[in-house]
Amino acid sequence: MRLPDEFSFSCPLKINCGTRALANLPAELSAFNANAPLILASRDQVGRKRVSTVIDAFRTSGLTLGIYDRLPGQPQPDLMPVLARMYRDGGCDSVIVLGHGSVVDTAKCLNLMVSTGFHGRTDDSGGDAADPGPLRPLMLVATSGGNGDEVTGYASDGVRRLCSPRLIPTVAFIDPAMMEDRNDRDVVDGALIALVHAVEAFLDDTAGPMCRAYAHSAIGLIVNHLPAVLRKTDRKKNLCAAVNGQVAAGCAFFSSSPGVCHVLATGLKQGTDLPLGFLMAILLPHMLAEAGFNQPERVGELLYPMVGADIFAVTAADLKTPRTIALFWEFFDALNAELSLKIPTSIGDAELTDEQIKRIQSRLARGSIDDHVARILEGARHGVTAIDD
Amino acid sequence: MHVPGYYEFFCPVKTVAGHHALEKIPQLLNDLGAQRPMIITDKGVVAAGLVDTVSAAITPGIQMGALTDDVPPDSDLKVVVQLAGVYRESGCDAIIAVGGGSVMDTAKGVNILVSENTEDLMQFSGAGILARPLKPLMAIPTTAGTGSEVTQVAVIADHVRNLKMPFASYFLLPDLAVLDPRMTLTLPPAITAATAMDALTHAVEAYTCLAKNPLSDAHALLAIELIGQNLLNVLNEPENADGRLALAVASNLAGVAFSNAMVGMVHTLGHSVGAVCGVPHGACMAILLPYGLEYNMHKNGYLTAQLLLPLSGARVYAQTPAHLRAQQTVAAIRQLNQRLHQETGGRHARFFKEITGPDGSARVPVESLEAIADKALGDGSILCNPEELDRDDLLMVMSHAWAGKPLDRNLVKKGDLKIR
Repeated sequence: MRLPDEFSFSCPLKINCGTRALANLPAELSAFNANAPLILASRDQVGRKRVSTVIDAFRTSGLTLGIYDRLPGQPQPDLMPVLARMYRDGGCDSVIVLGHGSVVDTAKCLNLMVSTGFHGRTDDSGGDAADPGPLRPLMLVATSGGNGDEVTGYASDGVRRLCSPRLIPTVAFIDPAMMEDRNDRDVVDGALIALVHAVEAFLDDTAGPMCRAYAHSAIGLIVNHLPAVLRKTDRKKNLCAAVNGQVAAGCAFFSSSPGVCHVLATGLKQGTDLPLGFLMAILLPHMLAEAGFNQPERVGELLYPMVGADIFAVTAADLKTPRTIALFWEFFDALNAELSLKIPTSIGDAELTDEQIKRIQSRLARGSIDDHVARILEGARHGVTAIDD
Repeated sequence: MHVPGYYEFFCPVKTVAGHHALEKIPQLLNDLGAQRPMIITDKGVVAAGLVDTVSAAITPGIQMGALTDDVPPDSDLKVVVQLAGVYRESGCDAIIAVGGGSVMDTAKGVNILVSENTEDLMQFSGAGILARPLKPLMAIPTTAGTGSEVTQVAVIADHVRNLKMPFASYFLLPDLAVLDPRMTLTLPPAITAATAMDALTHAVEAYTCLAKNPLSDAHALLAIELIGQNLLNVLNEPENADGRLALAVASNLAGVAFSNAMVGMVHTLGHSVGAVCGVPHGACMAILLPYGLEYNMHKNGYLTAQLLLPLSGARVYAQTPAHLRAQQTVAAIRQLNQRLHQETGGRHARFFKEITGPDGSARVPVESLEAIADKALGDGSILCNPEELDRDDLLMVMSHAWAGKPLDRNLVKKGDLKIR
């Protein structure tokens, strides 16, 4: 393994994963010197029963809880001062959030506001962002349907997108009791976003081995457990493992540079109703084929977390990259066998027009990556990886 | 990929690594809101010129508050209290620990006293007693082995009352670990070998013992790969900065792995040999690692087998029949010890019998084995070992490791419990 000449890594998140993980909520709060949490959730998203499950974890703790379980599905800037007042008037000293998406964004922004009075100059537009300093503990109770973004330092307050390592939750609890029976499309969408983020972090030359360790775990957990989730085999246990992978992927993603698939798929998303994760999945094999020309050894190393030591070791060095790409196709096929809405094999199948693709290409591709991006898009348009030629 | 029923994983320490990592310290301190750091180190580190290297790298942007090299080889309460006084008198606002395990422990102890504004360290002894963040602490390890720059524990000895005070808290974790190969370039070959084997043992036990999890596994595999690829190269070419950086990073990865997955009987016996006979920790780990793997092989041989890939590479792994891979992993570690023995002119011991003191006497006399076994029974790391150990087992393993004979696995009492 070749190390970058210089790198740094930081992941302030603690992960508590597995059976009865939630039982440790009071102890973890106490370890971080907090004992009056405000619980935030969207009852529509996680259901009343799961809110009760979290509250039950405090039954013998003697702690007083604040609870607001009617967060909306989209961030509402007007709600923030109301929540902040609730937090302060209730004498709260920490936040517990259940779920994913905008609910978690709201919790991150609230924590920023009540900890520092900070209103969000920490944007990810490359500006001169000020460090808000340490925040109060934020506990995340993960549920299925997330994509790893919950554990990053990114958040949207409904007006702007914030970025700071300080926004990263303190502890993520991944408990089978919180794994919802959501529709498969949402679960797969989130898992695919996380998977592609993990793969791109794995391939990031500048990210360093700590980031790679998180990415390695994420890839192995998602690839090995997501198909079983869809087949309803020991579903909660496998969901728990897949969500574990998503959390690890979020950690890796925040510690690396956004990759080509992430950037391209975000652009393509504007022209289609197809879920973002499905778009990223279409692009992934083509990105790998392209990367395989420049750094074949690195791409081939992806085989290890996907299939384990035995197959990795017996696969010839020059076949590792094509085998990796083939495995991703097989993985998508395995998911498609259980999905009603299939992962398309090409951008064409995603009903994006050539015009839209060209517009996005010209907007996204700059300088030396022009050819690189063009080849990925060209391959994805037809659904044939260059490695097959 | 092994997913346990429940696990926890945590390492919030920011790691900054590279050939010019030291030059980043001013900015890193600034990010922590610190301007007058106190450097805590020991005389060996100063004599090696490492503090000069650190000072030269950071003084353009930072005014040093104080520098002390009074840390003894074994951390001491009186020194901790004295250094806390120096910190306060000098108006410092952060600590930079430059050194090995004792320096890190001392720095953590000082940080408790100055952050809590007290002279009484004892009241914070135990797990989870600290209730709030401490002053900024930066760790710059000068050996590539202990991984103590990423651990949340410290042990301070009170030599007056003859007791050791353990401390465990998230708040003890350093804010930053700075890994720069210049800090280990001058490490003598024998210490390079022993400390790297310490790191290898952390990674191997984290991967093969009971508290493993997907994230500790990934850290352990990368650590083993880096050590396997770089240790002998560094011994052949001590000023190989890329190799030195790789070993420092491997030590850090192994530290993260074992502090989230615990260790097993290699540490159980190693701690005991260190306590009874005063043998350096790394030397104990290097000798005992193959024995620990052999002892547990009927329980976790499939995990030991997997380690052949990062340790010896894909070709060796593929060429070794599956049922022999675990034994081949053990053989590879023994071969590594043999090579280290040769490369260090015999200073790297392969078994306990060949460790001698300055006067040529045996450091681990055969009569001490019973005392070692007795003491090992009380070591906490015994809990995460895959196979149970009683006094006879410990004595049996020690007698093999003392004489340098491969373990007679027919003598292992195989428990009925399966690992789930």
